[in-house]
Amino acid sequence: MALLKTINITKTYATGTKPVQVLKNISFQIAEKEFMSITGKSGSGKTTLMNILGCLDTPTSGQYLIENQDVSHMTPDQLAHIRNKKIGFVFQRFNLLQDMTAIENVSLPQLYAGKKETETRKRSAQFLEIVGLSHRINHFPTELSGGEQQRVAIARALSNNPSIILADEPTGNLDSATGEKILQMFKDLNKKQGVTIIVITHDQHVAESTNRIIRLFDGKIVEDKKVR
Amino acid sequence: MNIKILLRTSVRVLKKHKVRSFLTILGIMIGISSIIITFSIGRGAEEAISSAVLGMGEGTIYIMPAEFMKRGAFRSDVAQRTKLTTIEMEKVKKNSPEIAEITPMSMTVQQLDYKQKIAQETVIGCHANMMKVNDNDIALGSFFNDYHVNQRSNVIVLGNKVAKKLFNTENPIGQIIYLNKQPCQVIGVLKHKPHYWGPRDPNDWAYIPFTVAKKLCRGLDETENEVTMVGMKPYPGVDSEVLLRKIKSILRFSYNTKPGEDDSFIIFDQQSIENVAREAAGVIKLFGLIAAAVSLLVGSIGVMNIMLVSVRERTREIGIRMAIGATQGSIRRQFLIESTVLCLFGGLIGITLGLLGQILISQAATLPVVIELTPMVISLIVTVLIGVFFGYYPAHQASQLNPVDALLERV
Repeated sequence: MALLKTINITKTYATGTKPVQVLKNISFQIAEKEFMSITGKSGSGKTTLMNILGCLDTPTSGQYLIENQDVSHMTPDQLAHIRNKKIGFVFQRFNLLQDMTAIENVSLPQLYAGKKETETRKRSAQFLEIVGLSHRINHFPTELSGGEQQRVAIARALSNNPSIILADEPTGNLDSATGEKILQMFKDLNKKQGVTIIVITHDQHVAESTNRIIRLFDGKIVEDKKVR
Repeated sequence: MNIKILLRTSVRVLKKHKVRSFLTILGIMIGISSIIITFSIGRGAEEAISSAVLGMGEGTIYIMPAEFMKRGAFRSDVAQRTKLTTIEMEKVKKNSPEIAEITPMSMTVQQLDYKQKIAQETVIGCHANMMKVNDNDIALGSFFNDYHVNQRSNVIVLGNKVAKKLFNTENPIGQIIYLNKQPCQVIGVLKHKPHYWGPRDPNDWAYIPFTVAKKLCRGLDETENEVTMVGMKPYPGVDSEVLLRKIKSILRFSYNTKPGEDDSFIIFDQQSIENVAREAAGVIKLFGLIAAAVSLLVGSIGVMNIMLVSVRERTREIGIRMAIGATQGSIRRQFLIESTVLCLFGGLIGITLGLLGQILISQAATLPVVIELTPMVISLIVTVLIGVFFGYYPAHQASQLNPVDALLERV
């Protein structure tokens, strides 16, 4: 059974006089425990696709199913619940809340899910341990290196046991050695914990390190290949 | 997300922008402190009015002759200026069984001296029931009695301040002081009577028997029965308006006043003076509350403004929160609680400042300090309502952001 399924997704922006179709009939499936990447040059539509896959945006037409549930026509609040429970985001800019410590950042999705604070603390500490930051739980983002911030973000993405992790250029703001470590962490999470991970990247090397590559060009899928 | 966490978050945000938060709530602070001050001064004034209207006594009525003045101009009929005498008093007394106590009063300023100390004070000649008429109490010794009045004994009862002026710490009872060089024995000192406004402090007065005043006081004539005023007190439960109408008709008949002619006398009653004073206090209170309301409104708009700025500044934060699962409702709630906490701080500081201001003003104006819970509770409710009402629009704006645009700060 497919974990994610898109059927003829299109996205059209009404910018200027002429509507621009950014995504054209995108159809693909992602199975559970996959580790794959969506790649393409800038302007290829990969960011728009990731926003739709992440339920941050809705398609203009077509269907998007998560675990057989059609989310393409949900209300903003329903989408918020889906994002909260089923999707974990890792961003290029890390996007941690600056006024909160590492553990508070990791706890936040759980609090939005309605969990008790004491319970979230315990869980968050566990996830920070998984990403190797047990010694940094009470540090603020500004006191952490880029790699550490991205690891906090990964712990936050994992904290509600989501169906998928969506990583948008996760190594884009990191030096290559640190980026390599983050990619290794994704690999381990996928292999050992069975987490489904989609990496959105323009970086060929990053894409090559995943197991499957979907290549976009001009809003269309031009390649969908298994790497290993 | 529970309220405790939201509260903690908003306090953290407000702490981060200390100066801005403080400036934002300035208007609220001023508004709330003026509410507290206005309420307390209003209450203080009411307290002052009801505990002793100008030192008159509860339910007391005074009659005075209509003097030379009439509606601000000199009367043309000066020659026919009417006098108030014991004859009118007796007529009122005879025809009004509702009156419990009635006394003639002569009021003149006289020189009192004791061992080189000289004081010019208002000396009131009256009957032994004076204290029942104006609700005074004896602190030391006793008031004079009917025997003193009938025997024309040279005895004097001093108001609290007069006693202090002449005797300081010495016990005045039994001492001889000189009224217009005539010896008088001090037999009593009155308790301090609260006095909140007006030029005449009742504690500066001294009382002597009416008959003695005629004999000793400069400006009074023993052969005449004229009085400065007549003081009286009705029995409890008497309808003062009915009684006043009755006194008025007795006097008009006695003075042979024709219909359409002005009264030859003025009646002061505690109730109507109290009403006037209350009205004045009410007007002061109203103005204070209007000023407070304007300040609160301006402050509230400031809060809304700063919340709009805050929403705009924190667009990315809102985007992040939405991405990890915040619903529109929880974003709205977060900003609503923030504006409410902001206003509540303003309210709490305002109440504190208001209480301080109240104590200062009460001391300056010698009004009693009345600390009441009600205006504080009202203030807190008002600030919470302001926070919710004026915070709603910015909070709603925040909740309506599109997560993608918010994340990219593309708003």
